[in-house]
Amino acid sequence: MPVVRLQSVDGEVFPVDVEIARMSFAIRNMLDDLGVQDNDAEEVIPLPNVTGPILRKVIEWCTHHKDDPPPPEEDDTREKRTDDIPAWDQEFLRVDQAVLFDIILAANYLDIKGLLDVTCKTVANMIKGKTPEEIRKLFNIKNDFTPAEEEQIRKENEWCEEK
Amino acid sequence: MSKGKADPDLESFRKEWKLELGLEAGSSSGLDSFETDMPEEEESLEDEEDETGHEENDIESQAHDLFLQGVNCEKTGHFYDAIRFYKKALNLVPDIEHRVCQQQLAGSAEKQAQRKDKSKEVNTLEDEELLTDEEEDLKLRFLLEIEAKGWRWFEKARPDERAHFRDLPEEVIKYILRWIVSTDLDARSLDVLSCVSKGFYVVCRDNQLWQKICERIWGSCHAFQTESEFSTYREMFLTRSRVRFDGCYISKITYIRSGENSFQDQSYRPWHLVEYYRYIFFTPHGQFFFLTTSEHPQSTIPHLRDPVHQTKFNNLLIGHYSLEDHLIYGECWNPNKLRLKNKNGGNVTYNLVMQVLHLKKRFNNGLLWMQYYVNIENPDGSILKNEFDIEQVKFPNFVFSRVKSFTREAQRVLV
Repeated sequence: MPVVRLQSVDGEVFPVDVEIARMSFAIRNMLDDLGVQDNDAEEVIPLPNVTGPILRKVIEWCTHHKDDPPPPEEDDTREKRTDDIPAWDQEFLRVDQAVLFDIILAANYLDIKGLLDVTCKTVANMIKGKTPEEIRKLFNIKNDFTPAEEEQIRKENEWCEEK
Repeated sequence: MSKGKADPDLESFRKEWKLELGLEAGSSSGLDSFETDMPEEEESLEDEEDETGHEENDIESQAHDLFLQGVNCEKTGHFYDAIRFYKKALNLVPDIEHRVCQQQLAGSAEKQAQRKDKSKEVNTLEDEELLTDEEEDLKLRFLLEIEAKGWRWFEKARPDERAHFRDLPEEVIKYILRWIVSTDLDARSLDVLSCVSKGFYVVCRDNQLWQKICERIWGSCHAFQTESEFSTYREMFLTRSRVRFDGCYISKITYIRSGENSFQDQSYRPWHLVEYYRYIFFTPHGQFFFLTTSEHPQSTIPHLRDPVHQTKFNNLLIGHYSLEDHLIYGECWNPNKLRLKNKNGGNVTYNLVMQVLHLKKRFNNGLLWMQYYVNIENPDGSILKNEFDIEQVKFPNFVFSRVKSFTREAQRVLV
């Protein structure tokens, strides 16, 4: 199977199957633009926004999901409910929060929809059901409201206080 | 930068205004205008006497305070206390409710007029339309502050070098918000997140996101056409009649059944208090579930939405509903009995019409039975319709109760 070589910002080079690398729309476009199809094993694609450890994670995810069916069109899935995040992905995303954000950034930059979905969903589920204070603590966010502003927002959001 | 100047202005103006309003409440000039249309003779007599005028101001402000305390109690659900305060207030000034109402109306009109002037100074670039209410006021203020900080949306509580929300591009933040709302339309989590920081407040009040939510409920055309009736799509979501998805509507039916007389003591007449419940909950996809059971809410509700558990409720009815203004039209059937034909050999469907109620100053937290009938399909295709008499005793109102587990995890992203 043809291989491309992906280079992280810190200079690490990863040989990756073309089919797996093409799961990233950004890389797919680059390959198409360069006309690299099947022969050039020497071709190195630099990825200036991704570090080695994160790129390794991304490649690991893509390798595991290479045989997934293509993501369904958004519109005709209205009625369907997907299963929860698969166990493998849950295990894969059991990482430090900063790493999770780095993977989101990489998935966004490389345009890998499946990975962006599962990571954003993970963050969303971390937020759901928590109180504002718990969210601040969890994500290291400063409360930059004045007491008056906080009070006004509390009033606007009064309906949230029902049990 | 312009914001830095305008902000203290706005604050000082608010203080001034509050002070003014406070004075007005006590001043006789404000009082006279209300007195004129008072029917009570004694009151108008008192009005003529100058000395009593002052005294009455005190009484009115006292009554005013008591009344407001009553309002607060009512809002927090302490109805007995509320009634006590209301009674005290009414004893002092019989039409205190009217007076408080007038005062507040005058106050808010003035405030709104003034605020518009102020906000024009704050920002001349934005549409005036954006500034129509308090909410937009804050959003704009925060946005300007964020801009002044070089578009830094989020601040770290503790400094470190790790990846953080503030490293994420705006489109990714918005995508995460759509995951939070998800197809369950969990707007509550969105509003809770808006309490976290200024940056989150601004992104969570994004009108386009709320528009998506409203379109899911009322359809894109209808939501758009009626948008002008509300200042924001968020307000439409919160105040317009609809069904809630983040929990379950419960109706408790109680009746008394007399028991067997003891044959030894004829004067002993036992009776039983029978209780059962109706549960109804709706999904944003037009489906609803309807269950009648004697099981208590605690043991029922957590399992209502679990597909595995649902099969254990033998008489759980499943169907579709539609929303038209304040009314819900639903048709449901029992999936377990669909193939077990009834004695006539046809399908049975249950049809209901209910009105959405706003109980205790909360929106969309009640349902009133309007109509309930059962259609039985005969083998020859004709339909037999049996209608129930809607009596309050047998069909009491449904009251909404939030179920946390319904919105714990996102299933699909909101598109």
